[in-house]
Parts: sequence; structure tokens; C-alpha cells
Amino acid sequence: MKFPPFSYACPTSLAEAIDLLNDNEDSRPLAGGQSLLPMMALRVAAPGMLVDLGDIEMLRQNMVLPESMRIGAMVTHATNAASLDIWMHFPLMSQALHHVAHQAVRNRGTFGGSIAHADAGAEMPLVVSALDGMLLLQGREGERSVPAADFFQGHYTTAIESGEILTGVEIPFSDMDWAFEEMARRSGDLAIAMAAAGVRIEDGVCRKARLMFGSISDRPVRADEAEAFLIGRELTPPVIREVSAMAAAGIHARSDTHASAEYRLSLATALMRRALTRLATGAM
Amino acid sequence: MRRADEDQRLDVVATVNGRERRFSVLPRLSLADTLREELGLYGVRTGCEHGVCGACTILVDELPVRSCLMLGVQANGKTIRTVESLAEGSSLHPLQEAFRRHHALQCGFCTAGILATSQALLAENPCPTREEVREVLSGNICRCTGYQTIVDAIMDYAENGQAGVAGGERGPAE
Ligand SMILES: Cc1cc2nc3c(=O)[nH]c(=O)nc-3n(C[C@H](O)[C@H](O)[C@H](O)COP(=O)(O)OP(=O)(O)OC[C@H]3O[C@@H](n4cnc5c(N)ncnc54)[C@H](O)[C@@H]3O)c2cc1C
Ligand code: FES
Ligand code: FES
Repeated sequence: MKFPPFSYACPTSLAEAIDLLNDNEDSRPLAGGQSLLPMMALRVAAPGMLVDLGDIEMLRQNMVLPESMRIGAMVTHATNAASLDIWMHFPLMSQALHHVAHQAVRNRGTFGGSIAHADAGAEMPLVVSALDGMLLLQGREGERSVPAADFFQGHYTTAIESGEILTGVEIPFSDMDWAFEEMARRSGDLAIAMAAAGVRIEDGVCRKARLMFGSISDRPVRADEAEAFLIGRELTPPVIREVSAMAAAGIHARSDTHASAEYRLSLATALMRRALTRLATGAM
Repeated sequence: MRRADEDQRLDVVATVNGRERRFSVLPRLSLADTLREELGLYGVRTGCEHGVCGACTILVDELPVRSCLMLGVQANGKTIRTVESLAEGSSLHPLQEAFRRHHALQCGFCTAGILATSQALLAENPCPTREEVREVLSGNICRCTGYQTIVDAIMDYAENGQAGVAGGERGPAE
């Protein structure tokens, strides 16, 4: 279907964009348009004005800082997937980006758009949560930052207030090894279930662990009991089996047209087992 | 700042198939419809109009994008290539020739998008494996289910390149 009518503005500075969003009640930021425009074509959304963020140079940059990296909201999935800095510092993100849509969509879809959109089946919200990213929001009143754990509030729901723009995400470097696993119907489709696992192994035992699932619930969920169980243990096949089942056990899973809650939970267990097995055997 | 009300056209200057074009469009017009209706480039096809089928795929600044998920007004300053840029006069591009040889056209509705997708693949990876071609093509839906011959054609072109040797090692799949 064709898009419903809307007015359009393409500001060149962040301040102008924020003013436009605040002065026009029915306005929405337009990033890559790879989620918003389909929703408009399907008449799920009909904003009166689109504020195109495409000409705001500062949103298109990634910056390597001493202990973290700041990823710009308007950096495309394709640019991040090809970035050596991201591959070096956040292998989890590089792995996950392979599963985001197809090339033609990755060429326009953006990191920030994906996070602001907060589809439960999207990869970047899980990655940013697993890596403890800080979401940077700019509004008329100034800048604030929100930890990922508080940012994602449900399917399509985040801590972004109307009139605010997500400028980027600051992600601290991690000393863990990471593995990402996903199940989707067809390569490039949204995930039915995904698992992210991070471990730090010293002297053969696990010293640090981070286990998270995506697309199982309405937002990324962390399996903290299972993480605690792993500490001090060796990643042997029986331990991996036990911890994977434990990680998926407490989660309230969602059912939709693609998969039942039971199926999602069994996938969650299997994907976590695969991720941890890869980490244990060094099969990156 | 570039800005337009919903009933107001915005001027756009873009390089389309090697030529500078000036036109003006309403904000709500997709780039796919802009190319078809304003510039008469009917090689651009739309199927789903929400990013899923890949039929409308074109090259923007040499990268494949869905022209149904871009606005016409966003073409300003960009370099755009549609399927019309491939053939020179009446001689087809070797990739198009390979499609013809392998009967990869069928009804032809998806072909323009698939040519854009495969051109971008081959630019980045001139010697793809069959599996890589299949993976990339999974973003373009062909309702004639002709992937076999489409993959054959792309592999033939990749293996025999510009020479466009008929058949190639594999031979056309009949
Ligand atoms: C066929 C297809 C397959 C896809 N498959 C996947 C997939 O497998 N995995 C996946 O993760 N995604 C997938 N996507 C979605 C894609 O990754 C989108 O690009 C992404 O979710 C949204 O990013 P965008 O830049 O296109 O944002 P837009 O569509 O422009 O915006 C999305 C929403 O976020 C808001 N927004 C955008 N940027 C900001 C900002 N900086 N500050 C505040 N609000 C903002 C917009 O107002 C809008 O509400 C797919 C899309 C398509 C069309
Ligand atoms: S028409 Fe654009 S992807 Fe289907
Ligand atoms: S050839 Fe008919 S849709 Fe692909």
C-alpha cells in the first residue's frame, strides 16, 4: 500500500531535529525507515510529520573511547557489520549482525532505529542488553543516559520520551568471550528465539558469566540464577546441559503466530547449549 | 533545511542511470513510485511495498536498497541505478545474457530486483559459492520458484565473466 500523507523535514543539526519534534505534536523521527515505513504502508502508523535524521552528521559516527565505544544512532547495520572496531571489541555484535535482515535492508536500517523500535524479535536490543550498554537520549531539557536494563520496557516500548532522540549507545569493553545463536524461519527474518552467552574462563573454570535470551519474552531477559550457577564451574557437557535448562526455566515466554511459548522455551535451551558449547570448545 | 508540507512538492536533484535528473515529488511518494511515475523507469517493480519481497531493489550509491522503503525526496544528491542502466542500447549486459541463456527469467517480475541484488553481490564477491548466492537471493522472493536457474545464471556469469561463454562448466540446467 501507499504511505498516508505526511509532511517532511530534513534538519542538519540535532537541535533543529529536537525542536521540530517538540513543536509538531504528531511527528516521528525517521532513521533508516526500514521499520517505520513498512508500518506506515500497512497503516499501523500514520505520523503527520517525519523528521528525517539522515543529514545529522554527528549521529553517523562511531567513536572508540579508552574503555568503551560509542556507536552512533544513525550508523547502518551494514556499516557496523563491516566495522573492524566492532569486530575487535564486540564480537557478539558482529555475530548478531549477520542475522539482521538482508543486505538491502541492512544498507539503510540503523543501529539506533532498531533499538528505538524495540521489536522483541530484533537482535540489537539483545546485544546492547547483554553488553550493558548505556542508551544516550537527547531532548529539549538536555542529555540523559539510561542503562539497557531499564530501557527496554516491552514489545515496541522503550524509555524514550516523546520529543527525545536516541543519539547513540555507549558500550563498555568486555573481557568475556561471546557467542550468539539464533533460530529464524529463513535467513534474514526476525528471530523466533536467540541466545547470547558471555564467559570468562580462568584456570579452566568460569569466573564471569552473562546469559541472555531474546525474542522469548517481550524484551531481552537475563538468566541471573544460571549465571551464578556457572561461576566456579568448568564448562563440561553436563554443566552446559544443566545450566542451559536452568537458564530457560524461569522465563515467561510469549506465544504468537510464529511459535508457541513451549517451542520458544525448548529453542532457548537448545540455543544456549549451542552457544556455551561453542565457547567451551573455542569454536568461534 | 529541506522541508515540505504534505501537499507540497519538494525539489530533488539526483544522478539516475548516469544522467542528472531534476524532479519534484510529494513527501509521501516512495522512491519506487517516483522512479516509475516521475521518471518513467518502469523497470522498477513493486510487489509487497513493505520491504519483504525484494522486487523493487535498486542500487543507491552502488548499494542495493529497497526502493519501496525509501522516499523519493530522499533521493536528493544520490546516485541511482535501475535495471535500465544495464543494457547498452540493444545489447544486453552479460549478466542479463546469462539469465536469458539459463531461462532464469520466467515471468520476469522479480528479475530487475534480482539483477540489482546479484550485481551488488558480485561487486563485493566476484567468485561466490552456490550457497552464498542462495543466501543472498533469500532476500528476493520469486513467485515462479525459479531459484535453480537463477542461481545457475549467476554462477555462470561469475565463473565465465564478461566473456559470457554459453553454458560454462555446469551447463544450462534443463
Ligand atoms: C524485510 C525486513 C526484514 C527485517 N529483518 C530484521 C531482522 O532480522 N532483525 C532486525 O533486528 N531487524 C530486522 N528488520 C528491521 C530493520 O533492522 C530496521 O531497520 C530497524 O528495526 C529499524 O531501524 P531503522 O533505522 O530502519 O528505523 P526506522 O524504521 O526509521 O524507525 C523505527 C522507529 O524508531 C524511531 N526512531 C528511529 N531512530 C530514532 C532515534 N535515533 N531516536 C528516537 N527514535 C528513533 C522511529 O521514529 C520509529 O518509530 C527488518 C526489516 C525489513 C524491512
Ligand atoms: S516492493 Fe519493495 S520489497 Fe517488495
Ligand atoms: S520469474 Fe516470475 S516472479 Fe520471479
